[in-house]
Amino acid sequence: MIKIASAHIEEFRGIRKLDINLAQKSFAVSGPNGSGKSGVIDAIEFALTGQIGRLTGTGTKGLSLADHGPHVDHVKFPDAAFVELEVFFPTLGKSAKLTRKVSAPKKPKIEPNDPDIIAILDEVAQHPEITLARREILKFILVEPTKRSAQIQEILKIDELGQTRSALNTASGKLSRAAIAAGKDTQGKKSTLLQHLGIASLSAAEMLAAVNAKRELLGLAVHDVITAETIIDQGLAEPTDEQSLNKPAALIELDELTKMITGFGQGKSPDAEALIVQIEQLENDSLLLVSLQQRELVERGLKLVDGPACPMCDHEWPDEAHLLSHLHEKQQKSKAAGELKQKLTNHAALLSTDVGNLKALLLETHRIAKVENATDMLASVVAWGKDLASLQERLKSFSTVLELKDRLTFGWPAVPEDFEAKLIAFVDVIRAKPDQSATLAAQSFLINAEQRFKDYKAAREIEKGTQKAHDAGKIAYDAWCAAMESELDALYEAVEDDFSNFYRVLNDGDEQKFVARFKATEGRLDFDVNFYERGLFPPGAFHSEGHQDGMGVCLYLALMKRLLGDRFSVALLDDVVMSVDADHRYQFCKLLMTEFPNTQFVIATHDKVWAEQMRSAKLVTRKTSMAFDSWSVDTGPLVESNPEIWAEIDAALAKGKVEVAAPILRRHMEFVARLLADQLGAKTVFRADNSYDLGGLLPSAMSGLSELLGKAAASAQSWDNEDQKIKALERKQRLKLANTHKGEEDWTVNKAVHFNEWANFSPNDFKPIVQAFKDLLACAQCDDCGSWLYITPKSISPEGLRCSCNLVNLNLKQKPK
Amino acid sequence: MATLQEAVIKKFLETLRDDEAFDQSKTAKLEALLQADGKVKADDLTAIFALPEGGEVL
Repeated sequence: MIKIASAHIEEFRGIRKLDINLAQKSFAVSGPNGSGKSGVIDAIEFALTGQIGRLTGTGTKGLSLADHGPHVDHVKFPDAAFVELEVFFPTLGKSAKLTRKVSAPKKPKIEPNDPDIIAILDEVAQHPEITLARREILKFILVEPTKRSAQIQEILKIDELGQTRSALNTASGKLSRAAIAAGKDTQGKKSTLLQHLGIASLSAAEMLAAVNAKRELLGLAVHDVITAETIIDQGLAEPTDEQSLNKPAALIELDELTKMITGFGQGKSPDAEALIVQIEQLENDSLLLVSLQQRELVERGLKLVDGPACPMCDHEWPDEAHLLSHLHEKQQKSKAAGELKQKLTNHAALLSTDVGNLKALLLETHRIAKVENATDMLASVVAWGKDLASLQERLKSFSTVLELKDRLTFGWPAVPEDFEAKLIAFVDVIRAKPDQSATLAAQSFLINAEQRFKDYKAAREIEKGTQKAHDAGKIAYDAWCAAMESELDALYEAVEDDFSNFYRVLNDGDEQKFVARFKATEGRLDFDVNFYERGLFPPGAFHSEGHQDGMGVCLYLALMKRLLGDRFSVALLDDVVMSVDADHRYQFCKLLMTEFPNTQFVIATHDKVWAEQMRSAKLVTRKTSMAFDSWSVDTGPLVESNPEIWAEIDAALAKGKVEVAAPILRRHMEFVARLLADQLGAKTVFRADNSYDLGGLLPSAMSGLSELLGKAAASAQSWDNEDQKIKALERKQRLKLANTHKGEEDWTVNKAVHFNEWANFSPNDFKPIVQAFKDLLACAQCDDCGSWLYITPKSISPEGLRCSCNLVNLNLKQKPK
Repeated sequence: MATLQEAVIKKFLETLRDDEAFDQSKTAKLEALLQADGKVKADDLTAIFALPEGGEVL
């Protein structure tokens, strides 16, 4: 939890040098468009997170913190652009100074170097979503459900959960493929054992018959039973001559190889066929291939991501989460291509097992040829074996599998041209060798049978292990998905309740039965809201733009409450309730103060009335608010305050610059006229286009004030309150005088501002005008606290006329007769 | 208040602990992996699931 005590901003965005005393409280910054107020939001966001939200995301291509963070005159000197915050840590009871330069956004200077302070600031830096700008609000409301889901998931950092789910899924897939390959290997080993024993099944009866026949021949005790622990050649000494050839066993192996080669000519393997179809699919659809190649690149990139810099092009992202989100979005787009790739990889793995089985037979042939010193056969076996090893290697990688179409089309084994003939000749040579003795043959039979039995048992163990690993991976994946779904459902339910509650507070008395419903399904988040009890509809269906703005802010606040809980200590709101009308803005202040009493809001707005409303509602005070009057490249924002306005005008006139003084006066009058018309409930002609001007509003506001003061005097009379009566009448008299003077000068200020005839005025002509307006406005201000007077309650029958400090507190209700 | 991530990890580990068929030595390894800094890699998970029942002696 943090509270910002003050900010010092230098050469940053549109700001040259600015000090702000936030006093650990909510703070308002107001000013016309282009006056630099969003620069304050950017600066605080940058100091806390090392990034500027406005320079990232959709539509910001070509913008960067390094190039566009410093003031435009200091783009070459990012070291000069920095923000310094004085931060208080309530939970630690400590303060620290946080300084961040544009030249080193990831390396803030924190004084003191306290690990507890650093940990809290690190945590804050992980949450750029503390900033909400108006352009971001509607992305929660008026978007497709899939995009809304992505936006909200990004805020809630659900992409991290999705990344773990994806890793578990990948692991589960790998283990599944390993289990399938192990199963196939076991079947291969079993088949070899059955062929060697010359039996059709591994039933005890068949195995005993085959094994015991040879054991009896050798005078060995027959096995009564055969189990997994049985040693088939038990009691048989190992043959002394390792190089001797077992003719029958050799003929079995060679026969097996011959059969396999013959089988190759009788049709392609299903896996090879499937691979050809899939490769052709990719060849015929260039977009699919491009999508897949990009996916390959993205997947490789995802594995390499370690920080905010792109591992491929070194582009600097605001943080790792942004980069990962970008890559996951690209990955999602190529989902169909990814599925095709997965199928292709699976078939390649299965085909690789077939290649392995052929290699195993060639290895046996190699052993026999070596014993027989058959060099020609040996050379052919070695050459083919190397080729198959290379094929197996290429089947491991997706990109190299794509190059194998010809090989697969013409037969993946690619039996060397003269190999079959050589093999037949070699088999004839072996067959022509004199028969070995029956004893030697029986010995060899049992030894080889035991070896194959061991191989089969080992393969079964491996298969069992891979199956268990696959089961564990599957259980874990399912458990993760269930946990994620359950927590997300609970979260959405809580957000739904908070959101509905916040929205009801915002629309006090209007939508008290308002409810919202979130429905999360895979990859999308449907969002419907109640419209005056007529049913649930998408928020854009019937609600006005102002209501939608309100919904966006409420949803944001609900999400932040659930995301950060007690740690939601700072929020930067940049022009976020602009379509919301004045009454609802008061409610918005109430919402922030009641639901988030421990959150420090920094709110920027171009609407001066809204800025004044925040003060009236006591969300901020005069001390914790700042108004910008205008901005220039050289000076940055010009801070407006009541006393300073007159000082600025005086200063301009002292320099003879009527053309500077007049628009300042005009803008100030426009602001105050609008504000007073609102706060005093002035009677004015309603304009549907909202285009109220100074000429219309100021007289209404002032005559309204005069009327209110008259009512206050009459009320005081009825209550026999002489003191109030005198105060009311004195102010009324001041107003009358000021109005008269103002009327005398009206023609000049209008002419000066509207018709740009500056040259016709001298400073001395303009000074009486300034004084007249200054005196007039002072009649609507508290002499002590300087706040503008307002009626309460705000209705056609107000009961009081007050100021913020209550020094002015005039009763308007007469004593009942 | 626990973050969403913390809540999901807690529930995930609870589910695995309640599953008698699931090797608890793997649960302990998964817990350590999920609580470590950095993102979880598929290869690390594969290695955990492929461990023998009860884990390795050395």
